[in-house]
Amino acid sequence: MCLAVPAKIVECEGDQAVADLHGNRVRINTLLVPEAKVGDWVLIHAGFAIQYLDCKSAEETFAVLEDLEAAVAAEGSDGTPNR
Amino acid sequence: MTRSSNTTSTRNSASGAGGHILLAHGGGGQLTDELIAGSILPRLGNVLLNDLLDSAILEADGRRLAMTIDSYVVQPLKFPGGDIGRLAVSGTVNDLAVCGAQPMALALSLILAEGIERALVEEILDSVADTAREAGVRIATGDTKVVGHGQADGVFITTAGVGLVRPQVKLHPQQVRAGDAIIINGPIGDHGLAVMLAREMPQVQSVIRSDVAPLNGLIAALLEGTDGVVFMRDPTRGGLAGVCADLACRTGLHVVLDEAAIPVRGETRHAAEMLGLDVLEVANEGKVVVVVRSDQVEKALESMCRHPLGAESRVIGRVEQKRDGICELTTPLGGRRILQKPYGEQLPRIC
Amino acid sequence: MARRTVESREALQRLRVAAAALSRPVHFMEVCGTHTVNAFRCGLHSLMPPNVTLLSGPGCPVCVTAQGEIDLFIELAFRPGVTLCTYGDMIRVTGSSGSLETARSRGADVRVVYSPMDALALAASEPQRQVVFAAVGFETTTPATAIVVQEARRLKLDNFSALASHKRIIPAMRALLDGGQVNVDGFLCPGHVSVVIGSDAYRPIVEQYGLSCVVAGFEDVQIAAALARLTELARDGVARLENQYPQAVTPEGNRRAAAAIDEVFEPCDARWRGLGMLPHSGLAIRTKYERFDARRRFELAEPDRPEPPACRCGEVITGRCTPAECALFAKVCTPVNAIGPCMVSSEGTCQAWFKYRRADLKGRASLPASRVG
Repeated sequence: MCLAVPAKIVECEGDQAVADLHGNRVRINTLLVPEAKVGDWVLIHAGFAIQYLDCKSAEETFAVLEDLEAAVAAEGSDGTPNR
Repeated sequence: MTRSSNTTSTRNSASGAGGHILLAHGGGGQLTDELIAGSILPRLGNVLLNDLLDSAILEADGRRLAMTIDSYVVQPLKFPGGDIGRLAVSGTVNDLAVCGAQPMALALSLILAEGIERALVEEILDSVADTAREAGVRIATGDTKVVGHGQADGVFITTAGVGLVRPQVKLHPQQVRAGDAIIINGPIGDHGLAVMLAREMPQVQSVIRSDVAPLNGLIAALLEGTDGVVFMRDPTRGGLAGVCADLACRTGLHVVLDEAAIPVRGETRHAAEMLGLDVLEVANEGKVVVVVRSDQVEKALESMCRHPLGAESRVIGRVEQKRDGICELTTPLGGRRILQKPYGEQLPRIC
Repeated sequence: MARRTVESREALQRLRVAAAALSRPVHFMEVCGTHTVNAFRCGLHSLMPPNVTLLSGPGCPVCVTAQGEIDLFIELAFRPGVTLCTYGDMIRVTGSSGSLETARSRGADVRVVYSPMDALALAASEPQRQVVFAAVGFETTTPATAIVVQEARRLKLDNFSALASHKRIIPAMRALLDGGQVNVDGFLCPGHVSVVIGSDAYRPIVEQYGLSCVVAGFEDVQIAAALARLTELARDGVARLENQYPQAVTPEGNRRAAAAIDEVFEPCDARWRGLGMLPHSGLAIRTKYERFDARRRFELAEPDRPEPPACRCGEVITGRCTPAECALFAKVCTPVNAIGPCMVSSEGTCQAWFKYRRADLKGRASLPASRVG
């Protein structure tokens, strides 16, 4: 009933935004979180951002951020991923 | 061939009320199996066909010949990481390779829809040529048909392939024993998600790229490096779950996969989560599941990791003694759950 | 993974310790299809102490959509000039004869969408077609429909309409408890519904029924931790409201989302598959937006369809029987050959049991249909 996932806003204009979910950029509607701006984390569901997320506390919980840490750790010195 | 008892009710039969073909019948999962078991095998079944493995093995003059055929109806025709041309060569080459055969030649049948751009067709054919060169295989013969406007989603390709099976290689579910290890050559879910996003989700731009690639080089390196390989499948439609559930079912043994060991790229995992898909059920086109004797695991991994398409190979599970024909997954939480062959079509969920 | 593994093991340990101190077995209910699926997927059911049971309640909006409602979706889809847009979850659910999937196989124009905005965009790009959006879901999803209906009005997209079939979780929980059909010691509350309605929404349940409500997220460690907490509260004999998902859930919820729902919809009585009419548990489009109400536009009346005989989905989704106790389960009713909604939906209790628990049902399950040759 509740497939919502955390994503980070990377572009924002009016009530449209693009949120990044670990390399997947999703166009979303921000009418439900009108104060969201670039750099904020939000919860997205069915094409809408439905809640603001506190990045710091989200870090403590969401697996996505652990993956990001791991990915960053795996990056080579030139910034390209070591897959 | 057995018919399971749960198809006795015909009113709600899996062919749909009234007996129509559903999209899910082409999904490579349980409904596809039901169509094959219910309509196809009763009419066409024979000793060559009945095993329903990735290739049929024919004997001629003491040599074993592998033969396979596949149709490619992917939409969109071009997707991140590949196109229908690359898919048409890779898929068929891989079906030969997982049966221990070195592909010799492909036959390629093109069905083109009236009105499609010639430049697009040529682009696809360039892809076919490039991939065939990569695989070291030739297109020996072919056919071209054109159908009315809108009748073929642009392009359908059917590829048949033949190859010579390596002598001494015996790859079959009957060879699998308790204690055998299960290896995969890299992260799963990329192809299916790349295609699904490209087709269904115009609002998503993703870095996910299909893994579509011919694996005969990798598999040749593996079979040269060890004689401990007993069975292989490529986890296409139905995904890793489909192949492993099928393995358990065919062997009658118990298969266990370790979820934490199964490689998945972060972007793929999270796209799957967003769409409510189980990445274990998503199609792959550049992956091979290898069942190998436990004392040959190191050699197998060594041979695979040396090849560019096997650099991330790892053990993801084992075959166990329990004779229940069930595949289980152990979870990061420390629990267990059953892995089954998916129903058919994969649909993004909200729920 | 290391930190999460440690937290998971701690949560499970707390659960075991609390369970060991219980004076009697306890039953908790989750009312969210995603909790149903995730609890199975992470293997939690195989780790539960024997005296703690997690029941699946009516948390799958697809499962609880009445047969008559599905029939309406299908009927509309077959009308010339109509395009029926639906979330993927709905497409295999059977009405009294067939599903949207079988309708599509027979030529009905049915399209799966990820967002109701896609349906709106379709209406804009195909002005000659009537685009109807099958609006199913709980409060997580309802705001999306509300916004889209408002946009349709703003853009004057008169060929768009929504067939509102949204449900409300709190009235449903109340109705179940009032009806005496449910015997539970607490609720695992749906994290993302709570994002919208706020954790305070459950306070009346705690206070009036004396049952603990713990709001939980969907990661394995979060579900395990919430269950541990519910067990501790049961052990201590206290009823409390606790929010274990403060990262996303506030006491008051997303007010803007709630306001959007209130602007477009008003509560109504609604029929839940297997449960009958539950008061105030549905949402109808207000007169103000009647132009975009598919029920009015197409003059639809929902027929009252009887459930298939021997189908016990209603008892399953209220935790009164387990799937294994239904005579049809795994024998006649399977994911490939589904009789009731709990088996059809990918978040239905019966499908979850069938997919993830077959090994537990010794002698009941026949061979998987995938066996050939």
